Amino acid sequence: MKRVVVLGYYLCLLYGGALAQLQAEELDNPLGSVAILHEGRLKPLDTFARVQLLGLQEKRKLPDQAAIDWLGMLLTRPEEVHKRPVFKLRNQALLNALDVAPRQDHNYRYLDLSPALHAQRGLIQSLHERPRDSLSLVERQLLDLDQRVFAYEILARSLTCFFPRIQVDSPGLATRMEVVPGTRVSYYHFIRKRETLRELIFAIQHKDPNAYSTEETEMVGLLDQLKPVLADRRATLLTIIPPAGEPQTNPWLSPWELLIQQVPTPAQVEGLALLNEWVQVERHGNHVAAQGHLGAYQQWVTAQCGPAVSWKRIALEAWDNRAGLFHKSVAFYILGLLLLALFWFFGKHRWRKVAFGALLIGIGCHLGGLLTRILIMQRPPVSSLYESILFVSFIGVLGCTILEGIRKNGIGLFCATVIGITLQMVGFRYAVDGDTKGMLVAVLNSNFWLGTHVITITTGYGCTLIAGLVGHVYLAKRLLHPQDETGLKTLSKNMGGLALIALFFTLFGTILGGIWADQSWGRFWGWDPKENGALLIVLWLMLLLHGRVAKQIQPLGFACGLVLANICVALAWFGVNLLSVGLHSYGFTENIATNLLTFCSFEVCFSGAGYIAVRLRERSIRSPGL
Amino acid sequence: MGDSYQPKYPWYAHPAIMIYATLWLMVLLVVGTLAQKGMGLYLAQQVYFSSWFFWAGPLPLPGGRLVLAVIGTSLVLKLVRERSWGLQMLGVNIVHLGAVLLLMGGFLTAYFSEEGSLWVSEGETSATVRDYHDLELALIDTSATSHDDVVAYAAGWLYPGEVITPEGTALRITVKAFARNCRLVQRKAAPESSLRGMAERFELVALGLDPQGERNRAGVLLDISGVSENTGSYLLVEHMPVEQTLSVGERSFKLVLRKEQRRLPFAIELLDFERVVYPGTDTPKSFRSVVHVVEENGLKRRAVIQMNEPLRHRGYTLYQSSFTPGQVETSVLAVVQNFGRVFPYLSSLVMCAGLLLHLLVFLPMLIQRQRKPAGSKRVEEAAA
Repeated sequence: MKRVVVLGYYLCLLYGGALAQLQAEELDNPLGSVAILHEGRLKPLDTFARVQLLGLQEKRKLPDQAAIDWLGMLLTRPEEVHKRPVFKLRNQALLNALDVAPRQDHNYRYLDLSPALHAQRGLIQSLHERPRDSLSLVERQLLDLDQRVFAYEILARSLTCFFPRIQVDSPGLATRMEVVPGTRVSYYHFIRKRETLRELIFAIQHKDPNAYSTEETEMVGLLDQLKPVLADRRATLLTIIPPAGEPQTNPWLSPWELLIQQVPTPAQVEGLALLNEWVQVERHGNHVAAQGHLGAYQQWVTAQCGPAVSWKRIALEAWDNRAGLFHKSVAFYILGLLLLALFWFFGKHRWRKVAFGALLIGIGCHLGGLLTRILIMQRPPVSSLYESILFVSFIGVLGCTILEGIRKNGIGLFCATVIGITLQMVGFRYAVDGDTKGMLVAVLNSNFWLGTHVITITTGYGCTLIAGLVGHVYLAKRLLHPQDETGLKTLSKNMGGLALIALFFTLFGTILGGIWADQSWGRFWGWDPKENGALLIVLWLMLLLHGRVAKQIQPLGFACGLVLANICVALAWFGVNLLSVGLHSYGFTENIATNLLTFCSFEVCFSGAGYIAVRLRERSIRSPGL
Repeated sequence: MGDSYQPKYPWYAHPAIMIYATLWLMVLLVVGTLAQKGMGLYLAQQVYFSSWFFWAGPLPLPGGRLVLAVIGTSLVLKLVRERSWGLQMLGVNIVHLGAVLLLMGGFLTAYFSEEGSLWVSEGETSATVRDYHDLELALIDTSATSHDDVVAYAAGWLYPGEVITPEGTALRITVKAFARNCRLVQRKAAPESSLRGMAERFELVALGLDPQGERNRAGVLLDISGVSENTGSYLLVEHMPVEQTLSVGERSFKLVLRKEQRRLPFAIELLDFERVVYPGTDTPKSFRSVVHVVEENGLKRRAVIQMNEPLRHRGYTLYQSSFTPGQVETSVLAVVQNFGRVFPYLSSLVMCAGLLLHLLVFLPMLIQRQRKPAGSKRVEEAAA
């Protein structure tokens, strides 16, 4: 028997290894570890690449290419990337409006979309002037597509200052600008003679065009060449150059911004030179040598920033992106559930033990994911709706694992896997909103309160969900195995205990929330939707427990009540954001209303149908045939 | 199976009170929260939670205050008459005590606290707190050069038909019309001779209440009589661009409709307001005001007020609330005077202790595997 358990563990590890292989990403691209200051936070370019691709593709990677490789190509060889289908479009009506031929995989190329959008420029302009609420779905999607293509263009032009696009033919002019006549040079190269250029422009500005010399006429031609080159000067998204001042509090610079809007410091000149070398070598297709140049640039950045920047954290984030710990945890939860089914089918405890092993590995991945988030963001992992989902699911799985460890009957295992799988799936839907590691607005920016109030209340949500799930189990058991009275009685006691724990955390979490509000806004309780939602859970749990103690509610009713408690949690957690009222509306979602309604209806039906079925069955047992 | 034993309860501690009161409170929570979308946070609070009764059509229903009072009273009576203070009930009793403390704090806050906002620009000093909601009609005597005398009439006076007779003057101010939210519209007909100031060219059009309370702009039409000159109708609205003045003999007055103002026993001088954003974005990272707290005897003390770190002084608490941008920034501080402030803190400690105690006593029994007493199985089988 022991051999089977050992075999089981090996199977789990094999499964995990297979998963890891399937998800194996490209070899570590050093471009991924380059730092960029984006949305107020210093992050690896790998994260930035994934978020940008997410906006275009709805996924964080292309079918045949990692996000960072795509970004690298877009920055250094945009002409090639324009030919690749990157934009995801599903709406047929939108494609018709643009007169673009539909494709099977819904992916479209920049080369197809850009001219189509240009043709509709007038329409798009007029749509911008109207309020968004008054637009139809296609019109809104048209504006969104225009935005996405614009963002793509901005990104693609970030490094064009290093592309050779300016040609000076006249020898005299070439000597003054210190370029070789007849060859193409980049704007970066050209602008080193900034002062000379300014003098030349000044000279011809105040002269009669008819009296221009050949050199001055060529100057005019040169200015014409510069116009399209300078059109790219607003491509300032790639802020990868550290500022002259403190790197954590000052905005970083993009190459175009540095060349146009500021005068680079001697150190920054050095950095620009290193970047230029990297771009040139990449454009020539020599990837291996290019990595060497990129490494040199990285070293320069590290030297510039000094100890103010934690490179370990940036590298950790790049690793975390590739590791996909939360996806792995779900895989193990699913494995655990399948193995549990085998336990129920065959009745042999060895399957339960193997399932428990899978659950432990899963929760390990889950915890690992949370810990890396804490290390990267330096704050408790509950600062946004998405993070609260990760944390609540962890608490739920942890609580049920402990329950399983004590009771050893598979119920805790079932609850753990169900909570883990459903909540993580919900979390994945929220992860498509962009970079999930955002900065906090001023009022939330307090690690103390995040660590006390939010942790407590989300733990309360988790515990209520566990109690609710055990309520489901009780109802199912009462219907399917009513003869196991001892088991039912124990389960009923468990429900009471779990409800009590849930009440403790939700009550304490709600009060801590009030205290935080008192410290921040001057009032303990404002009947805000979020506060009301939390109070709803507390009151319902309190009601159930009081009813149970006073013998007004029997175990069956108590179980039904706990199932309904799940509705209170769902409403308090997600429902209040639909109202968008009050000081608490931080999480932004669409289409949540339908899912919420479905979930609540399901719980009501389960609870009601379960209760009625049990009562009918027991009545027919008590008075058969009457 | 199941226990059929129903313990006897005294009337005030019957579980039915608690169950129905809590159920009704839950209904209020849902209805009151949904209502906030339509009527705004403040109004929904007033109607459903801060009231004793509210009307659902022709039917009066209990409001938040009544429900909480019922729960509170029942809890207090139960605690006072409680007999069992052994370990089994001790945790529960402590929790109930904590709940009573919380409700008491709520009661004190509801009836005795005052909130308002203080607006001060960089380099300036202010001791004026403006109420968030309540209005007043202020009659300001600007005759003297060294100071102004202000008499303010609270919102209770602002009903059609009310007559205000300020002491020390012969003025009779009759309120002809009042609207909590209004709009000024140019008069179409030729003005009558009795109209003065703004009233000559504009008239009041009442509007429905805006869900966003701050957007409501109140207006009032007054009739001034009792003196020999400048009698007639005067029109006042909140945030009026042109001050409405009135001269009677040698005295000159200003009439202002505004939010209630109170004076703090100290003043706040704003030295610097700082708004820090995350680099490269517009998202605010922190707000802070560096101020001098100026006492009546002139003593100045430096203090910093920022998000999550208020200033507490002489029973008042000042929070960083908002700001208006510009060359010279204006910091908006929320000023709260709340006697019930300490109760939630006390109550949370008490309730936490009580629940922990209860958990420690009961949890091992609830989570452990149930041990079957010897011989019971056979008894059960025989009974089946």
